[in-house]
Amino acid sequence: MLIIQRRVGERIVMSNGVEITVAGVTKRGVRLAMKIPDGLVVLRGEVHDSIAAANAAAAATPFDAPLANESARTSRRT
Amino acid sequence: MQLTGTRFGDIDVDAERVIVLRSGLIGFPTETRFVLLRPSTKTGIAWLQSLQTPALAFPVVESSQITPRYPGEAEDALAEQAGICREGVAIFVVIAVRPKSPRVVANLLAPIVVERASGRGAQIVLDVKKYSASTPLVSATFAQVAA
Repeated sequence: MLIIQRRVGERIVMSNGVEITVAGVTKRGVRLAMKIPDGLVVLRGEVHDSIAAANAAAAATPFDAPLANESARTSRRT
Repeated sequence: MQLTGTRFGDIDVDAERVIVLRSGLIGFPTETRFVLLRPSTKTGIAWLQSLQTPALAFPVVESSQITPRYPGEAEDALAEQAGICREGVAIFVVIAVRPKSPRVVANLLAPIVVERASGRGAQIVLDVKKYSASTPLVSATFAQVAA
């Protein structure tokens, strides 16, 4: 993992147009200010992880009652 | 086009009905192309079937099936967040059925917003303070999916 030391007011720039500035540092945490190009999504890590876990749980849902299309339904419904 | 080896068997996909999610699903960033399979059962569950990974499908329901009050946000704002046109927007909620109680949970935090006409859309993230990614559903209708 890349580690860069930055002071308050300094920023990092990514090739896709993202710019992140350290806006402030307090006892409670670090405040980041971000410039994000259209179409890119920024999420807090824990929010991303909770949604990714929910999506993965959805994909693991057993496929029982609902059936895909007419032919599948006819052949499977006994 | 034909998609072989899905959980639903081999299916015919109408190219005009392909759903393209700009950034994929969250946690599945490379899965961008889907088709919606609507079985005509009473459960109301549809499946967002990946066109890239035949074994991958996500059960979804239309937001109106959850409660008329969901989502509280204006459709315009949701469409804008998804980067699509404001007309003819469909909002899908990803659900999951689990072995333990609560058996059916809905991801109300991150609905999938799709422009019906073009099939373009995105999974967007709403207010974390208002919604959870795994909200228990008590509706008997939804419970049928696991029966």
